[in-house]
Amino acid sequence: VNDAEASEFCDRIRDRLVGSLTLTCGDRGVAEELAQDTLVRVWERWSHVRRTDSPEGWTFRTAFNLAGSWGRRRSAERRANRRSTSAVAQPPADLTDVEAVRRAVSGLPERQRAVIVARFYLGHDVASAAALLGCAPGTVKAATHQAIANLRASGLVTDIPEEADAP
Amino acid sequence: MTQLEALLDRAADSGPIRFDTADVRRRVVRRRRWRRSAAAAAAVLVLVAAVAASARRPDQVGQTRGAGEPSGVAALLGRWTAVSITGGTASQQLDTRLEVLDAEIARQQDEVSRSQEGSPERQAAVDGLTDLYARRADLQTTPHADEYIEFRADGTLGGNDGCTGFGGHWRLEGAQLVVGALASDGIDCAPAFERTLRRVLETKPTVTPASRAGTIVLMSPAGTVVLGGRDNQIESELMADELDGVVKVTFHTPRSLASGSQRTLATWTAATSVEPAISAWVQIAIDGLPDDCRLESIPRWEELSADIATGSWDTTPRWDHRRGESTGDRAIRRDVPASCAGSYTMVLLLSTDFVAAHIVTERVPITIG
Repeated sequence: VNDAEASEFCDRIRDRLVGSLTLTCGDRGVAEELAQDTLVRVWERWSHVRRTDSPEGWTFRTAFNLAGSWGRRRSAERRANRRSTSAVAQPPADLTDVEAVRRAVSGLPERQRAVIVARFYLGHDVASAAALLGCAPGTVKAATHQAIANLRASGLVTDIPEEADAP
Repeated sequence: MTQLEALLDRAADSGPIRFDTADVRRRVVRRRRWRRSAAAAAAVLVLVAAVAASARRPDQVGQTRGAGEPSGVAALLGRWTAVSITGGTASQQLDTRLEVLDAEIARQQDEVSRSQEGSPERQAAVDGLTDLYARRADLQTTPHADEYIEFRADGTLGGNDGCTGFGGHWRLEGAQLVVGALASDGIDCAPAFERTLRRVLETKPTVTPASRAGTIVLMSPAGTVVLGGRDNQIESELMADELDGVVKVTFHTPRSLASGSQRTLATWTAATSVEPAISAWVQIAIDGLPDDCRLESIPRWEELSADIATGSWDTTPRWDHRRGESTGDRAIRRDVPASCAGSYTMVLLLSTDFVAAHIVTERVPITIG
């Protein structure tokens, strides 16, 4: 029964999980790998996960943690590369270029990235995003405000509803 | 839908996803199977190591008569700070201990099933079983000492037979290697490697330069033992979280390196005890590089160590076991400018798993000239 339930849950959540991780990491291949890692963990702990308040929240928190660890691994390489190559001016963001959108989102600090994905990709409001990410609603609001300011600065977005941006 | 939501929707969608729930199920099943056979996996590792060792020796022995190679043993030894022989029975000892524990666990399981539900005997038996499982987990996850003996340029030697350490002195009489009495730290734990080594050394083996640069061979009536080489050879082993498996990586690094284009800073060979259900990353960093020395993608150790100390360990996935082959040779080659000249410590890192990862670090000297 547990395996059947876990399988059904994984089936249901897979697409949104891969999508969220694609935005978080900026790389579809890595996102699929992390999503599989996440779902394996969910499956193995299903008897615990199914009893939590929000199995979905548990899953996305695990996924964002995995993505955060992956991102930290990458940062050393980026630093070393920056050191060994001269700075290159970044071209302006192109709204038709999905890679530019991924770069902009995945370049946000970890918390802001998770909040943007939870609210504007997964469609959670402040309260449910807070429950999903395991933090206070105030933290979600503040991180949303900062993330949107960063995305505006990158020239990627111009049209943000006022209530979404409220600190 | 806002502009941001539309952008994110488009950026998140890249066509069909290349795995499905059946793939996840297969990985879960494989991990469950692995847990049930963790001890067997350790035995496989021993086998891999033994096969690798036996495959290496005849090859190198066969080259001992090669032409154009270093002729003076003393001169050859003079270029080293130390050479090592690594043994192969520590893991076998571990395996034996696991077998003993498994037998105890089986007996205790019988005890539990025979005792009456809810009785104090049942509770005691369950406690005993829990303790045995904990001991087994400790045994599997606590790194056991590698067996080795190291001959140092200052005439001392030191080693570990996988349980107890020992030390002594060595010298060359002509081409003969003479080792004095070995003192051990007195722990009684069946020092099979030390005994074997004593038997080999007591025969005063002949030291012969091999055709492979920096390698010498000890010829003895009991057989042939290969002493390391001029390069550093470091073996690292770690076990991933949740008994995913064991990864063993052998690094080879040059002790000295001329500046120039595409110099080899390190090569490594890796083996895992399980099919690529486990990822391992290797990385090198260099301690003390001057500011004007730039080596592409090679971090300074001071940067990396600060991150490791704070728990936000930053290692670069130079090689991903899961994505790449299960075994294979790899090399890090970089342009090394003359501004990098100097003597440094190279730090080799091996890590695994995305979360709560273990890191193994080894330090070796390197001179860039």
